[in-house]
Amino acid sequence: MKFGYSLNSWAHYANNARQDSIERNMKVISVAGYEGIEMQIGTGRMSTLGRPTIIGQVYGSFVKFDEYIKSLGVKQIVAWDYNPGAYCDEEDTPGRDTTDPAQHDDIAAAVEQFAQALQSVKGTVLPVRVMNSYWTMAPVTDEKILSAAACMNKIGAVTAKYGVKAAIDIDWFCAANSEHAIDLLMANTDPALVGLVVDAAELTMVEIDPVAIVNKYADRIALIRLEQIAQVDTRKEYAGFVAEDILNTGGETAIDRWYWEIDNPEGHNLVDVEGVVKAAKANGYDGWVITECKQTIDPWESCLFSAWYVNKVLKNI
Amino acid sequence: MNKVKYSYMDHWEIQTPRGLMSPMVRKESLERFLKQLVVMGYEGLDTFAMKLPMYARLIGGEKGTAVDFEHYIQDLGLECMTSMFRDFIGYNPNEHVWEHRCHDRILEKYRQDCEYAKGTGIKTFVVMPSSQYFWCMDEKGEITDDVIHAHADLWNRVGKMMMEDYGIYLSCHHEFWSGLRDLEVIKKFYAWTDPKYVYYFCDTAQHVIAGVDPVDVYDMLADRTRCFHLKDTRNTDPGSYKIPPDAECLAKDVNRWFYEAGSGKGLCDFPKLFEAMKRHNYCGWISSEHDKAEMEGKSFSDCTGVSMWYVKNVLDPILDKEEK
Repeated sequence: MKFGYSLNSWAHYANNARQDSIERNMKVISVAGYEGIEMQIGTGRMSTLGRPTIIGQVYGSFVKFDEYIKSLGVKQIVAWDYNPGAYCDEEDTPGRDTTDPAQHDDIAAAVEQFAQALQSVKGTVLPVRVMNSYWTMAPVTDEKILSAAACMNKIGAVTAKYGVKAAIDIDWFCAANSEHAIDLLMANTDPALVGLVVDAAELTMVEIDPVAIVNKYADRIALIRLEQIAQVDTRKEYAGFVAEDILNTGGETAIDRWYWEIDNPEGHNLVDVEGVVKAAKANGYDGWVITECKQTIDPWESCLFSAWYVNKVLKNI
Repeated sequence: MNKVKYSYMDHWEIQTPRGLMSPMVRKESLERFLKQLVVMGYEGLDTFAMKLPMYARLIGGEKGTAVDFEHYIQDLGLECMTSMFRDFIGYNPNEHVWEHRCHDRILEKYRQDCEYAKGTGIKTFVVMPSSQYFWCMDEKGEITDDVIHAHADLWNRVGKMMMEDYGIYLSCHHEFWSGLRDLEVIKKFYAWTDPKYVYYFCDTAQHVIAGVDPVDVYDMLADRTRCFHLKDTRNTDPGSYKIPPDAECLAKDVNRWFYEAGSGKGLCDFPKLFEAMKRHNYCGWISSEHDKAEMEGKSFSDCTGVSMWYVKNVLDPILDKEEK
């Protein structure tokens, strides 16, 4: 297994837009001992690392950007995280719906430039938020899930041309946030084209055991993500109106912060991080494990602090 | 063949719900801080004599000791504490380093620190050998030979005590706002102190701010050099070093004096210093220091990570790593 870090910790233009900020972030990732990164697809002027075209404007080309971060010690761009439901200026869309067959071709066409860019730097995974948020999709029916599966097969067929595995990515708020949905998606997607992201924290948030998912779908795993959470959404607040607001409002429990580093002295160790890595190893997984920490007040600290646990505990499993 | 190790000078501050604080206020935040040092590749912790009892209490409770604290940092992956620091600024009328009448008391305080650190890995005691400049200057604003001699007498005594009773090296760190800041004064100080007992600590930024090339001083005192602080600055001092009550905090035109090595916009020539280390076959600890990073709301994790990246990728290779 190889360990990387997600750039989503640097979630503000004050720390992720400027070239000098990006350089400092990469140096800290490198010093921490991570070998790779996961990036996030974005749109517009504040999204310096969000699209091949913008990266080209800033660094010359995606390949030149990769060479540049390699010179800083970041060896591999592993994955580029995609949310078809997100607003995108460049594609003139308010966000698309994977459950609408009429939109499948546009979604599949949209991923091509990212798969092509990943191929140019030997990146291997395109995580795709497989369905939009639960509250926008309810009622979540088998028919909708099957349509999203069909969309993933189309996406996978495009990315496979570039040696990139499209991977079903399910977060806490996603309409596919149930074991039933995962089973249905896995059963109805082509293993040769579509993999699975095991995002341990997001699954735990909705009371799905990530270790069980690793064991069940070991041969489909394209990427593992690790972070900690301070609370499980037992109240199913993900189903509420504009549910994502609770990330900031704290929801019914008024919690300050949901996400934490993979191991921390303050507690909140609700995700079985060690169990996930042990299960992955037992199943012969030799791909990437991406550590992340959303909602951190100090992304550099979280990057370094998480690395201690990676280096001292997880790498020794 | 250079055998060097890297340590971190303990200035870390964190944002907490109660504002900016040292991580030592809670064991949980202390652990976060120390684990980050391990991850970055630091092997030693340079700290303050004043902090040691607090660390000991945090880790070992009421009866905690410095050794308990050192075992704790070793469990997390550091090798040891490498040095401790204490200064005598000048405000206490009975602790004037430039007056012989105060020397017994000062020596006794350092002895207490050495006693407290017994059994730990600390082998260097870093001191600011003078007080603030304005305390020990004469009416013309200059440092007289008599005053330099008085300083030398104190540190010869303290250094002898540390070495002979505790096996600890006394190492002198020259703040830009201290009495022993100018090159000619520094030269006299080392000429009048005993090389067996009084060693030199090279802080890059402090010298550059004072208009002194740290490599010149290091070349002159290579045999007496006991550790470095890698620290950068973007300003030389136009004359604020005489300002009471504190030239560092109250300088008129400079809000923040110190930056991490590797921040890229500084005045210190670190590659030149490492070339000199190679030339003199320096062996020992090299410390990262960037106090006051919090002045511009920067994260110590950010600054220290960038600094260690620079050390690993630019500076350390100068020492010809494969020969280590």
